[in-house]
Amino acid sequence: MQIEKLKQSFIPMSETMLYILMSLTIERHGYGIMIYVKEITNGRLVLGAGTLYQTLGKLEKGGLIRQTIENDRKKYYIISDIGKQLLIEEAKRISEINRNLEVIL
Amino acid sequence: MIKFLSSFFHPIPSDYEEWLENLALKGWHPKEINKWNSLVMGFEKKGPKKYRYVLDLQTSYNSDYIKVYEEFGWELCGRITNAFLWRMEYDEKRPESFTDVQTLRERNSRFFKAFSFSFLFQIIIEILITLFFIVNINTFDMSVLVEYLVVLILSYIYTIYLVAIMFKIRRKDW
Repeated sequence: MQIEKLKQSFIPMSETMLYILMSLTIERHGYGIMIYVKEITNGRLVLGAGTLYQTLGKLEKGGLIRQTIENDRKKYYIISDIGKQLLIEEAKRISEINRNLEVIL
Repeated sequence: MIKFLSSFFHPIPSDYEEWLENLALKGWHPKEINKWNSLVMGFEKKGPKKYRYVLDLQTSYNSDYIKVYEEFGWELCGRITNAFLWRMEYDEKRPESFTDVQTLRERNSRFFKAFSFSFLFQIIIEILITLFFIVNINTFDMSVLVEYLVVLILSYIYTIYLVAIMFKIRRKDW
């Protein structure tokens, strides 16, 4: 099954990939993704151009995101249905880790 | 100022970037970036600048590649064959293009693969020449024998150099 293969390839996700995928629940372009991720992490995570380009390439190749429009030479992306499924899977996994770590805190 | 064989003296991507940055701090900036820079690179004296240089090997890239970098404020200096040379002037914190370990490793892996390809090509040619040399050794006179040996030894030294670079990339930048 394709989703199982994708889970093996993409989960667990790096923090970078997770935040980029999360940011694409709304249609955005590269620089917009960087601004969004910087804002929601209070400036902790500032994505570089090379990192963003490479990660978008991997996500698009895997079918987790798709290109929507190309406006003024900027490519816009949005998460796909498969991407949403994997994002939910990853969110569940991280929530489980968070619950289990609360004992330590 | 002209620098020769810069890619041979600074083959590791991060070393090459630091070398250009140190020259920029002294006021030396590349005149033109092109495919011959591995062999010859001209520099012109201007004011000292704090530049962050980034070398990114891309054998295939889409139309978004250059746009993304430019949107982030990087200036394209040029291409050394398939390697894009970017730079950004900065004041305080040295900017990064590869902000996570995985994508940095992937960038370095592309250079590693390029060196591996050169190494494989080199070793195949050397094996063929060595076999030819061994098979025909009795047919050569002394002067030809010495020439062949010198060429072979230089060739094997270059192969060892390629292997050393590949190890250094894995150890330092992986």
